[in-house]
Amino acid sequence: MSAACLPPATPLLELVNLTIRFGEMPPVVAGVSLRIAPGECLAIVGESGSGKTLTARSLLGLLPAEATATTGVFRIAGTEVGGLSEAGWRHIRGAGIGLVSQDALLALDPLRRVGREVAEAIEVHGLPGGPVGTRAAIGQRAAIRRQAEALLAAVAVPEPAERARQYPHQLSGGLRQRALIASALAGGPGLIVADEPTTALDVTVQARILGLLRELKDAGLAIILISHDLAVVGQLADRIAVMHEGRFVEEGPASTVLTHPTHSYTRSLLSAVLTEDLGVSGVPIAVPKPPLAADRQVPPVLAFHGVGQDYRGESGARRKAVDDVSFEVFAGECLGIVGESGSGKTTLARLMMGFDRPTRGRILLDGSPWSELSERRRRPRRGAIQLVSQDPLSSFDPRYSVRRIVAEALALNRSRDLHHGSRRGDAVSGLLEQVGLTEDLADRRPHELSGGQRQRVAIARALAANPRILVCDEPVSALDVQIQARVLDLIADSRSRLGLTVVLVSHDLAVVKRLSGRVLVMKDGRVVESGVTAEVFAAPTHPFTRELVAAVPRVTR
Amino acid sequence: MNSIAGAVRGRWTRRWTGRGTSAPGIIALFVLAILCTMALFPALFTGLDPLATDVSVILKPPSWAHIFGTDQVGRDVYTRVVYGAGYSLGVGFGATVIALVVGVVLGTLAGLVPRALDGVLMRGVEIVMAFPEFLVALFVIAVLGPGPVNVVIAVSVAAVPAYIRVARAETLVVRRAGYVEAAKGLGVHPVWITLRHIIPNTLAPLSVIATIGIGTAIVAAAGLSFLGLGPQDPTPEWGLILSGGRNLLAVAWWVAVFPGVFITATVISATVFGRRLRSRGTGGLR
Repeated sequence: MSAACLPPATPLLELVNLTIRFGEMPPVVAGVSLRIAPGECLAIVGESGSGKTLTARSLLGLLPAEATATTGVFRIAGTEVGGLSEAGWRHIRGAGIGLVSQDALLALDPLRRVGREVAEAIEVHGLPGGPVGTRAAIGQRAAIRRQAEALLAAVAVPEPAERARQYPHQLSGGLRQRALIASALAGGPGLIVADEPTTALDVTVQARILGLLRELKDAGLAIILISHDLAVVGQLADRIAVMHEGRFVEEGPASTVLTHPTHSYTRSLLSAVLTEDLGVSGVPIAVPKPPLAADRQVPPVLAFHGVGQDYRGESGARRKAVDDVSFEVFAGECLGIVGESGSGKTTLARLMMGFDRPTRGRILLDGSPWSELSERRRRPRRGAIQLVSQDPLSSFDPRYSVRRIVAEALALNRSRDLHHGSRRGDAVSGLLEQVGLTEDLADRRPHELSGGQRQRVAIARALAANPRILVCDEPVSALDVQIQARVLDLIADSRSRLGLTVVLVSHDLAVVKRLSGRVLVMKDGRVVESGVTAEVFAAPTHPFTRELVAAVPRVTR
Repeated sequence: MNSIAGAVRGRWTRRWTGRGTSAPGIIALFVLAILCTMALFPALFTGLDPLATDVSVILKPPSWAHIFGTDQVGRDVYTRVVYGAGYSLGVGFGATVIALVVGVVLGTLAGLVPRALDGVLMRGVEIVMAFPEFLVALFVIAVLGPGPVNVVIAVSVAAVPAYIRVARAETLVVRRAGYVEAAKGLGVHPVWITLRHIIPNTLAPLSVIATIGIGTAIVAAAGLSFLGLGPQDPTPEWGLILSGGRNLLAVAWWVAVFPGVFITATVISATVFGRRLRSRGTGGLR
């Protein structure tokens, strides 16, 4: 790296040649060096397994006990911390360097009020202005509470005094993440390590959290942002380090890395980012024209008529998860359904599958009743509509091998003559080949597969039932960016090859835009906007759609 | 590296070393292996007949000829204990298998049927569980009458409520699993879903409590025999031998002590082994 991209000021953190290994195995992180100055944001980008989280953990001295880390220089705020004892680290953590982790629900104590969580960090490291590094005295309780509320206010938590008295599960995902940031800031660190801080969040909430981090950065906070998402990183980072197999393969100013990547790995990461304006930046995807009104003489394959679904809430009051939803899906098209979490997207998918019975309205499959059928009458028709869910692992019997999972679905397929053992075996192999899995994976259990491979097995199983409709509920949101693109391609492929109708449910506009010709936008259980995908996203009419479109992080080129 | 190399270490995950082996576990397994061999092939361990009496050696203390001594009619206590292993382990194993099968069937049903029916079944189970297991076994014997087969039935009836409860609790979890819904979505018949997906996935925790349950069942069966409600003399059964030696404790301790030691060793080994299985978690079985 040239010296030009290193900050000139005294670095808050300086780390030279970090190597982490487990036992005698080859190092999982090798020769990583980084420095960061006040008010700077360094992003470490890589796919899962690249060593970015281990790197982040070692910055706080939080490595697993079996891991051994060696470093050259390792200074935080001028103090050498390499080889520091656990007791020594306790003074550094929180006060010199703070951690914001991905899942705020896991990181916050479920039995403790949010205000206490923030106050604890203040108690450990003292009130601002007080003697540094001393515990706060008992008499300062009121002052600590005020400081905790001030911190919550600083991270833009509305009604901080009231929120401080609530438990983590009572807060929304975005507020929880803010509370976590507040507790990371409580000890007054100059630097925070944010490990995938927005990955679990909806796109609009993500935009707000990124905005908050930018404000904190402008106020002088240094941030090390760990992410798999180049588009998110591009919003905030001054410098980007791309990590691959434990090494920084490329490092430099954000604009340079995003526009003129030198390493082939960075280029492949960038090309995998599902950019919204695919038409402009190359790789155009053929979107079949949605059928016009005139073509719609055939009945829709799937139709919702005024469908509503209620759930009994905590207090016994009925809550409308989905309300008055009507739409039609025509043979061969791909309908996208977008919305934030809690907007009723997954409820819609479950209603389509006939897992739940709608409280109001009716659902027709192939023009005949579906939602009001008894389970006995519905069962023979279930093969026609198949689901690929977000978390395929939980949808596989843990005792079953891949072969058996697919074979079970095939056995129910009445349209194929597969009742001979050998022919069914061939059919399983054929299906696995179709979804791009090799024969040697067939005898593995699902937990021995990678996320992308599992999703392929889920698709193979769905196809085994010979469906006409494939419902994909967040099919790629648990996957790395490069894998996402491949799985989406597989869905698109299967669709065109088998003439499938696809219903694609996602919170990710780029995913929906890539595959679907028409889109429904859901908000609070209602469809607020629908139409041809390109038109809806180019000229959104509903304010929520506009917010959704504006919130999508883009890689600026 | 030129500069000082420092090691960064933390302790936020627990160590996994030492997993899989432990002295008590190995000893328990060894004891169980010997007992099973004894039960299946008693002739390997002794050349004598457990029923043969010999008036010339009445109540002899342990010696090289009779290492556990002899009883009041001159039978070799060691031979009787060896042959008793088959009966005691058979009862323990048989009663546990019956209890497990009945427990899985009723427990799975309870977890799947409508709530009202489940409620009725579980209140019944709770009534049985309100009594000590041994008392329940005594009730059953009182109804059916004494005898070796009735002991097996009595012991399994007493043990079954625990299996029903665990099987039901597991079923309630597994029936909500994603793979059960996935099978439903494929159009698999509910009976097949239950047999192929629900029951096999509830078995792991049940197999662990069953291993511990074998020990409990052996004690219960020996207790019933001790009271004279099981097999009758001269059958070589540990509880019965123990009972026969009870009145001789002052003059011939060996008649009662050796079967007692075997009962204790069997129960402890079964329990240790079962706990071992449980602490391994479901990792090996699921």
